[in-house]
Amino acid sequence: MRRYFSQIWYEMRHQPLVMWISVGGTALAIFMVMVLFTVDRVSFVPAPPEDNRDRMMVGFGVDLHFENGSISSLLSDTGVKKLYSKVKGIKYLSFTNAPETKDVGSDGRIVTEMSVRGVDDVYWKMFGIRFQSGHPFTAGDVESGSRVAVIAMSRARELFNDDEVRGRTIYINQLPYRVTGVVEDVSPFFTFAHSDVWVPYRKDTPNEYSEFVGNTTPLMELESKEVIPLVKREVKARYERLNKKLGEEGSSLIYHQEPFTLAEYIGNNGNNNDPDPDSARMGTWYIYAVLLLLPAMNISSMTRSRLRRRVSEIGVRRALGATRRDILGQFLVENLVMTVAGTVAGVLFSLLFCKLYITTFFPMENAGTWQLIKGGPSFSLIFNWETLGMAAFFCLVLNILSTILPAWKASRENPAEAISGKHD
Amino acid sequence: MDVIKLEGVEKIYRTKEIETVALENVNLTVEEGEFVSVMGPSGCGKSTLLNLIGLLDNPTKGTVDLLGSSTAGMKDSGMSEFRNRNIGFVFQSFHLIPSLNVADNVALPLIYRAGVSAAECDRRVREVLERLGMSHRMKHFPSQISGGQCQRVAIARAIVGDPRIILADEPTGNLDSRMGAEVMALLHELNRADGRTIVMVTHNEEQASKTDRVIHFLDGRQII
Amino acid sequence: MCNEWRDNIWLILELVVVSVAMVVVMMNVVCNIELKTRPMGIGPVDDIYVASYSELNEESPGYVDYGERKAEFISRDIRRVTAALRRNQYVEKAGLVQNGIPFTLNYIGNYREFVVNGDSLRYFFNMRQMSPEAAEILGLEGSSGFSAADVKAALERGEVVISDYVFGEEEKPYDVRRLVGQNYVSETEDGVTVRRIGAISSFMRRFQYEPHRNGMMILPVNEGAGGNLAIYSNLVIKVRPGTGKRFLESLQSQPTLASGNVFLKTPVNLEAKRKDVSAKHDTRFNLFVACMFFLLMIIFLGILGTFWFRIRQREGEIALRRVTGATRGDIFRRILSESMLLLVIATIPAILLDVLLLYRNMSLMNGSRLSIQEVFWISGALTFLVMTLSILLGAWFPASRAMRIHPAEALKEE
Repeated sequence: MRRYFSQIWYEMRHQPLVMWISVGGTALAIFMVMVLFTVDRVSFVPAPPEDNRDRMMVGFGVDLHFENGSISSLLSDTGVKKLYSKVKGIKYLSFTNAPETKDVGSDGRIVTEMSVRGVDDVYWKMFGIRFQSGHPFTAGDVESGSRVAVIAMSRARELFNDDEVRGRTIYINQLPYRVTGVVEDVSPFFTFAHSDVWVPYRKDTPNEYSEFVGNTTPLMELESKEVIPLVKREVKARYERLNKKLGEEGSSLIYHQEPFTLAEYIGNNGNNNDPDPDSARMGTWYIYAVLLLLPAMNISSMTRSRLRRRVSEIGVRRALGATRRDILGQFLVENLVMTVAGTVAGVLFSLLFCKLYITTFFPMENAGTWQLIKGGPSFSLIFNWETLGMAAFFCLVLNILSTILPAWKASRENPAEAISGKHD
Repeated sequence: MDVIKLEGVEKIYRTKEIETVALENVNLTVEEGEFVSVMGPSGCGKSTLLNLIGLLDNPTKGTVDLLGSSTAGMKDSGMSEFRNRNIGFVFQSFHLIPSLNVADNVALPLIYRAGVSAAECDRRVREVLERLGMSHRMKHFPSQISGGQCQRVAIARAIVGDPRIILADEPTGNLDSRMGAEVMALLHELNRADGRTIVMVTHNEEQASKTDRVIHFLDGRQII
Repeated sequence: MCNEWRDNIWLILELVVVSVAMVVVMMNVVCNIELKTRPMGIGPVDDIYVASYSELNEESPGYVDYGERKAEFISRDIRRVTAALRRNQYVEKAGLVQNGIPFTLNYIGNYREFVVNGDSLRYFFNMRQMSPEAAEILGLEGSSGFSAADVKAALERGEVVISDYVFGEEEKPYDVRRLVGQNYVSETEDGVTVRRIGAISSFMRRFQYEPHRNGMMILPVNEGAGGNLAIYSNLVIKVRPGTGKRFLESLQSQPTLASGNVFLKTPVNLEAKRKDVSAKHDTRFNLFVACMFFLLMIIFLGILGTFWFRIRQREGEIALRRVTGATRGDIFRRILSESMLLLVIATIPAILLDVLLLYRNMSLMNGSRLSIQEVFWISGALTFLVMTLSILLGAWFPASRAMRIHPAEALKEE
């Protein structure tokens, strides 16, 4: 290994520009790919408080067809119970209302608009949201529809200029709520754990068209991610059973492969479509391929030029007994050292960039919410085994793409001609 | 025993436009422990001969037998191993690898040989450099030592693997006469003391005359 | 020379791939810039705020049961709250709208058929309502011979304003001026209202990336006339330039503006709403721009590296040229033109590929108003331009090095 470094160090000194271009080009390519990869994965990587992202599922809604018309809507609590309650493999089933923007204030003054999410008691078990003081509301609170609330710390400070707000009253759209707990802020990168204020989940009032139609978003945590297909199969069976009954009334539920995994949920734009995260993923891989292939072409041509200057060295090594595989191996490893150096630089820059500027590329729905993020995404969201593994993979791909051809050619040189410097 | 035996060897270089005959019907035997010089004008095929003996190139026709066995049909990796174990090369322009220091350059043949431990490798490199009086320059790079010293290092590299044949292509061509004489003395010592077979290409009549046998080449043909 | 040609083919291949990728990216960027910079139909929105009214819930403290006269009392409350807001020291003007602000995606679709001189003209539109003040605050522009003042005056007269774009059923635009003077009849629970179409305004786009143009009809909101004002109205507020932050602070430091059951929610800056609505598109746009820079960087580095090697390998040749009378400038220009030649050669297959792959690919258009031909050739030309720049930059450094080669020294080394 020391000899490889010695070789690289020598070239660094004698052909600095070319070496910098090779390493810099690698760093640039890895930077670009890793930023895109990280941005793409931020919504799916398990990290506190959503440690369960890989085994989380969501009921998107219901697509109900009648003889003359259809309804697509969120589910009702009755619908959720019929479809998802007591499904084998589901550890927690939480009833929630999607977050809404409401005016929140104190003492008769509206202070500001905040995101308010309705959740039940199970929700607090699913996510590792940390309580600064107080406690979540109970099943009893949800059952009786008590006006209690949990609030994020920074928003509590905004309302009261005070950390200890437990027991005090906040007004949500002019209705008084008693604060039972204050939690550490959850960043909007967490689709389901994020909110400013949490209030008890509201049960649905009966809908005139169907008992399935309502305002509930069910969140599920499975026992493990391995049971995802099992859960899907069971829910599909339930759809079929329910449709037998509904068919007599002339209506039917259209099965859209629910419940959705997080990737399916985020990639889906409406509940009348089957999720298709795979084709989106393919598209991303095409982009990665282009982003790696072009720099690889560059670096490959640099490598070729470099190896041409070392052709007599190749001849000598062959004369001294190096086999073709020795030569191929030597240049692959030599370039790997450089590619690794470029990759490390690229990954570091991408981490820095993602920490500071992820919102430049993150497909956010609502710029207002994102301006509240202080200090960017947490480290565990942008750096984990997955990103590390991916960086290593991209590094290897780039190295092979950029080196294999020139190194292979170099290893096929006729040693006699190579030594004398005669070569094509 | 015939260490080197060439029979009816012919080497033709073909490109799209022209066909060049480098060697024509060469028959040659070199016995164990012989020191043979090859002479002739530029382009007469001397270097081609050396390349064929060194298994760096294949003859177009004829056979090359080394150490009593035929090399015909040898695979590329087989030839690499054969070179590594049995042939040492010394070149006119030394061909030391500029990015490696003296010790690393000398160690190269051992690196490409299976089953040589790092300690063993170090020991043999040190040994051979001491023998050639270059052990004080082990950590120097080729650019930091003189031409004569470079050729000493190159010779050290040629013998570190303990080959029975040494092929030297104008080993003194890039050296002044004093250094040239030193290198020649060294080669004679390797021949006499170690019993290694040496084939040397040279332009120097005087050097040639001191070897066991001189072979003359002209236009690809052996004339004596 | 053989090596150089292999290098060149490699480079040309790279340039072809990059330029095709670049044209795709560029077409997106061009279309998005066209969309982004297309007039919104209104003036700047930095000092404009929008607030909505809301009603106390019956569980709220202070709730009053209005009983049968609810609509009447709510109208009164809205007038009182609006008046209170107008007294705020930072407020210049305020006006009421319903579905009347940009940067929300609401669309109340409708169409009417008008018969003009025996022709049946269909007009599809988004139904908006604005008070004359609101139209003035938003800076709604006049069109087709009408000024902004004409638009405001028409609303003051209780007339209807339509936008200049007509999307007829047969997609054949007709002269919208033919509709001016026609009567717009609307039927509600309160009876039939007949209003004259009084002026033509520009189309107020819903957000910056909105690809389609639609018709828009504005009905007047008249606060003063004593009619009923609806709780779902919005208040458009113009504050004195640069005082937005102080305006919000002044509202937060005092009790919420309220009268009876009606209270005014927190005003939101229209510029902030603009950013919110386009956030997702903006990040996509950023991504395309970043890809563009990445591609340019790649060819810059590729040219730089390859030519650097080339100069080193050709030192002897360059020295010989100097000896035989070439000036430093000649050498410099020769290297640069060599790099440009590569681009020109690469451009030919690139154009062929582009035409084959992209010329009919409408999905790249994002609904731009430009034709695909225009977008294609503009993008192609821009691609060529930026690639020229980055290639010249890449060749500059090696070329200036070649220029400095000392003939005698270089030849001696040979």
